[in-house]
Amino acid sequence: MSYYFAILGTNDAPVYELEIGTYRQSGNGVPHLPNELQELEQFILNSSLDILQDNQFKDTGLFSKNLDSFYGYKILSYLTQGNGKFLIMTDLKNHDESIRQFFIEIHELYVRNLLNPFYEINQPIRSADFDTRVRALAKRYL
Amino acid sequence: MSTPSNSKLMLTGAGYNPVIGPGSTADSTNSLPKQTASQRSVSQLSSPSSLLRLASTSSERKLNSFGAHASIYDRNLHRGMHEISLSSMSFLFMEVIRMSLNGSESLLQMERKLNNLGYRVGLRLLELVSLRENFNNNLASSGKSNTAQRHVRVLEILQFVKESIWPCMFGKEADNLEKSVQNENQYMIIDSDPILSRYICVPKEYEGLDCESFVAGIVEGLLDISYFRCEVTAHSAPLEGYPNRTVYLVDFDSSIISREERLSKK
Amino acid sequence: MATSNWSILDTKYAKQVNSLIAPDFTGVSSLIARQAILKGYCPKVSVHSSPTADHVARNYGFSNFLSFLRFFEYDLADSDFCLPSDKGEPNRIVIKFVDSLEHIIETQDANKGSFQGQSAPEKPAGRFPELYGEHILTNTVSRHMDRVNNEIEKTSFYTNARSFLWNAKDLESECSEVQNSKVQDSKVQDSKVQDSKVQDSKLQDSKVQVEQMEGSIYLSMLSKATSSNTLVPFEFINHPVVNLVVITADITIRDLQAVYSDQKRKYLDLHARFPWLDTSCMMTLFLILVDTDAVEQFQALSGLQDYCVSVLGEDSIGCTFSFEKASNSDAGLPLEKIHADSLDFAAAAKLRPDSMLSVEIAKKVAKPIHSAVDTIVYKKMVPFLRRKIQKWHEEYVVPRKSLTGRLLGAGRLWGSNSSHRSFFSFGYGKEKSESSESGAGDADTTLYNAQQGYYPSASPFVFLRRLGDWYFMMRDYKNAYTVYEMLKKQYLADRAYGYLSSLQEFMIVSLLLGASCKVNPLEKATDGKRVSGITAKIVSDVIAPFLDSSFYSYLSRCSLKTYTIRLTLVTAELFLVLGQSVAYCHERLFSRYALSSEACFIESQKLFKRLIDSKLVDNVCTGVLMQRLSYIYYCNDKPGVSGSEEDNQLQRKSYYTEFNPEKLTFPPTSHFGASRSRKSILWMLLCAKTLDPVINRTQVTLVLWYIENELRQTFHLGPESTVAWPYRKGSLFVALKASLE
Repeated sequence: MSYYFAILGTNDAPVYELEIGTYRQSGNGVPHLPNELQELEQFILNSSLDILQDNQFKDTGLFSKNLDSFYGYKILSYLTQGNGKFLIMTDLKNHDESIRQFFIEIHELYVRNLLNPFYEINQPIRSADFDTRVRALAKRYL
Repeated sequence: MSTPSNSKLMLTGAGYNPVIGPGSTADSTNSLPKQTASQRSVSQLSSPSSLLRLASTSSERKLNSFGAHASIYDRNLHRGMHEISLSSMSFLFMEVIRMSLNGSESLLQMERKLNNLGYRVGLRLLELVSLRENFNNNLASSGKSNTAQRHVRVLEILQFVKESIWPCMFGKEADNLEKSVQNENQYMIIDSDPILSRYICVPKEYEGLDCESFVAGIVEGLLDISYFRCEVTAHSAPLEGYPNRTVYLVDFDSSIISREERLSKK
Repeated sequence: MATSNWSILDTKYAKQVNSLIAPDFTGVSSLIARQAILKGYCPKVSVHSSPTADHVARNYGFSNFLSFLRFFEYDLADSDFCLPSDKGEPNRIVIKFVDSLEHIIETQDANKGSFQGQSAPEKPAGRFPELYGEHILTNTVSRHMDRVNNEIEKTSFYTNARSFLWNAKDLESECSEVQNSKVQDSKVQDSKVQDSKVQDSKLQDSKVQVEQMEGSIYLSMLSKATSSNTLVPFEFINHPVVNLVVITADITIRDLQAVYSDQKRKYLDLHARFPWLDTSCMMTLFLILVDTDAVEQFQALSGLQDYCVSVLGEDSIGCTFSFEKASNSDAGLPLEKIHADSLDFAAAAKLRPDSMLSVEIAKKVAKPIHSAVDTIVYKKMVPFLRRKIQKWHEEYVVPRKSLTGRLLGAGRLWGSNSSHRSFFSFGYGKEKSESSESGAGDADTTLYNAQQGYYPSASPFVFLRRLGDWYFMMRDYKNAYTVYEMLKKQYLADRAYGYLSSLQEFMIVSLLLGASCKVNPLEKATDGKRVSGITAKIVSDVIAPFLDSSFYSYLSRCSLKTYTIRLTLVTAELFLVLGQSVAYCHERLFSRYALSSEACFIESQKLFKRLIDSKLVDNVCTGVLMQRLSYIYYCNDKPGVSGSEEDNQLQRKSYYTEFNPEKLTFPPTSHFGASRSRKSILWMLLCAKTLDPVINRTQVTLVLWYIENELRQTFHLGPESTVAWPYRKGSLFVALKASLE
C-alpha cells in the first residue's frame, strides 16, 4: 500500500517527487512499490497527463479521483489554475477524500513556495523544509 | 549543456530517501553547476536555489517545534484585504523605471524590460489569487461541497483578471473588458485611472512610452501560465477627465482561439 | 528491394492507404491489417493434383502443384477488398489454396497431441483441435522478426538511429544551442528539431522502409493468428468450398475415372470417420493442364472436358502453358516476378525457412495461370457459392422468418419444450424424411451429439452455420449476422460451447467488418446517406457480452488457446479499423449515435491490453502487441492536426522587438489534449522491456530510438524545458539503454 506523489510544473516535468507508504492500516510510511513499477513511475504519470490535458479545458474541477489507472494502481490528479499538476499513483482504494484533502493542503504549500523570490517556475523544489512539510501532511492524510 | 547536471538534481529531488531523511540530499550541493553568463537561461536557477537551501536549512532549526513563523511555509495565505502605502509603492516603481531606462536603447526595449518584470510577477500572482478566490468561495458555500474550480474559457479568465486580479493588486476592479472588433484574437482590459502610474508623467521626448507595460506583463504572465498563450501590451488612450486611461491589449495566440471554437462545439 | 517481400504491404491497395495514412514506426494503418484479416477468412480451395501435374510444377522448381498455385493467389489481393459493387456484394474475392481435404485431416490427426493442448480427453467439448500448433505463432513471428532485423541492420536509418541514441546527450545540447539561436531570432518554433537531421532524403527513404518492415511484423502475427487450415466441426471458414482436381491433358479417360472415384471413395471414408465433416457441399472442379508444346493435347482437352460434364457431372477448365521452364538462354522472354505471401502460414512456417519467396516466371506462362485462377474464382466458385447460398436461404431461413414459420416457432413456446426438432420443424420436413430414409435414427442425424461434442453434418444447425459462414466469405455481413443470430439459442440450449463461442465470435466480427466496410476513407465522401455504424449500445449490449462469454468459454470450457487469441486480436484490430476509418471520413457521414473514432480506439485498447494481460502469447508476441497498442495511442489525434495553425504562430508579429527570455514554453495548443503520444511512449517502453534487449537487440534499439525521438517532440525541447526525468538513474529507459551498450 504505497503512494507515489509528484508535482509537475507547467512544462510537464516533475519538480517534486515522493514515494511514501501509507500510515493507515498500521502502515509505517515505508513505500512498497514493486520494482517494475518504480522504474516506470515517471513514465506512467507522464502518460496520464494525456488524459489530464484532454480534460483540462473541458472540465472545471481541480481534483480528479479517477484520472487513469495502470495495472491496479490508480492515478488521481489535482490541477491548479496555474498548471501546477499534483499527481498521486496508489494501490490504495477508497481513500479519495483524504487524498483530496492532502492535495488541498499541498496546494497551499505549493503557492507559498511559488511566492519565494528564489524559486523559479518549473525548477525542482529542493527545499528540505518543503519536503518535511509534505511528509508531515502525508502522515496526516495518507 | 544543462541536462546532465540537471538530471542529477532531479534525481535527488525524486524522493529523499525515506530512511535517511532530508539529510540524504546533502551531497547534491556539490553537483550544482557553476553559473556562467552564457548559461543564464537555465543554470542561473541553481545558484539562487542553493541560496534557498541555505535559507531553508537555517530556518529548519527553528522549525522543529513547528511553532513560530519560521519560514515562508508558515505564512497565512488567506488574510483579508491588506493595504500598503501607495507612496512607497510609487517610489519603488519609480526606481524600477529608472533601472529599466538605464541601458535601454529604445522605448520598446524599455517597455520590454518592464513587461518582463511584470511577467515574473504574473506567474506567481495567479496561483495566489485563484487559491484565495476558491478558499473564499468555499467558505461562503455552506456544507462540504467543494466549489473550487478553474477558469477554462477565454472570457472566464479575462473576467477573473478584471474582477479578482485587479482588486488584489489595485483595490478596485478594472473598468472595462472589451472584445476587439477587427481581430477576433484580441481583447482589451481598460483601466481609466491606473494607480501605478498615477504619479508618472511621460515627457515629450519619451512619447509613446507606457509604464503600464509592467502591468501588461503581469497579465501576460498569468494568462500564459494558465495555458492561454498571449501577448499583452499597454497603450495609453486618454479620455477627457482620464488622462492616464490605459488599454491593455491582450492578443491571444490563434491556437487558443481555435481551441475555444473546438470546445464550444461540444 | 527489401520491402518487396512483405506481400500485403506491396499491393496497390496498401500504397493507396499509405498515401492517406502514412505508416508510423509503431505500425501500419489498420486498413492494411484488415486485408490480412479478410485473407484469413477467405474461401479455401483445396487442391488435389495428379502426379503428372506435380511433375509440371517440379519443372518450375516447386515441390508440388499446390505450392505453384499459391504463388498466384496474391495477385487477387491487389485491390481494395472492401469496395462493394452496385449490388452491395464485393467485386473482389481473394481465395486461398490449401491441401486436399484428406491430407489436412491426416496431418491434423497426426498432430493431435500438439494441437490439442492440455485438454482432458473425457471432456467432450474439449476435443477440438487448435488453429495451429502451440509454438507456431511464436515461431512465425520471431522468424519473421529475425528476417526483418537482418534487413533493418543494413539500412542507413538504423546506423543513424544508433548514433542518435548513444550521442543523445551531445545532440541535446546541440539542439538547445540551435534553439537558443532561434530564440534570438524570435522564432519560437522548436518542434522540428529532427528536420535538420533528416534532410537527407535517402535517410528518409530508409526510414520509410524500416517503418514498413516494422509494420510487417505485426501483420505476420495477425495473419498467422487468423489463418489456419484446421478443420473443426463448429465453423466452416476453413472447410474448402471447391475441390480443385489438377490433371494434365495427357491423362486417359480411364485414369480420370479412377482419380475421380478414388476421390469420392476417400470422401466417403472421411465422412464415416468424422460424421461432422460433410464433403457433399464442396464443388469439384477439374483443372486440365495443356502443354503448348504437345499439339495432341489440345484435342484431348475438349474430349476430357466433355467427359467431365457428361459422365462425371462436374465442371472443368483448361489451362494452356508450356510445361518446360524456359532456360536462361531464352533471354528475350519477358519475365514476371511473383511473390509468395511471406506473411502466410504455409510459406512462412510449413515450408523450409530457406524456401523461396519470389520466383520469376515467363509472362507467357504466368498469364494463362492468372486467368485460370480468375476463372476458378469468378466464373466457377462465386456463382457456385451464390447458388448454394440462395438455395439454403430459401430452405432454412425463409420458413423461419415467414409468418407461418414464426407462428410455429411461437407454438414451440406453448408446446413441449423438450423437443428440439420442433424448433425448425417447418423448414426441416424434407431434411428429416431424407435422413430417415438413410436408415439412421431420426434424432441421431440432426441433434447435438453431446457425447462426442458435435452436430452431425445433416443437422439443420450445421447447414445454417455453413450458410452464415458462406455469407461471411462473400462478405455479406448483414445476412451472415442474421443467420448466426438464429442459431444462438439452439447452441446455448444444447450447451454446445465450442459452437456457441465460435458463433458469437463471428457475430462480433461480422458486425464490425460490416460497419467498417461501409465507411471507406479511400473513397470520396458521398453525401446523402448516413451510416449508422456501430453505436455504443451495440457495443455494450452485443459485442462486449459476447466477447466476454466467448473468451471465457473458448479458454476454460474448450481450452482452445488459439481461438481465444484470434477472437481478441481480430476484434481489437477491427475496432481500430473502424476508428481509423471514422477518423478519416467526414463526420457528416455518420449518424449522431455512431461510435466516435476515439471510442473505437478505447475499445481496441481495452482488448489489446486484455490480450497482453491474458499471457496467452509469449514475450515476443506480447512485445509486438504492445507496439500495436502504442500505435493506437499514436493514432488518437490523427488526422485533425493542421500544420497551418502552427505556421500562423510563426508569422504573427510581436509588438516588442525583443523576445521575452522568461516566456513559458507550451505544449502544442491547437490539438491540446487530443494527443496520446505519452501513452504511446509508455507502451513502447514496456514493449522494449518485453522484447528484452539481450535477445532482441535490433528491435529494442529501434524502439528506444523511437521513445527518445518522441520525448523530444512532446517536450518541445526549449531553453526552459529540459527533459531530465527520463534519463534519471533507475528509470527503465536508462536501464534498457545501458543494457544495449
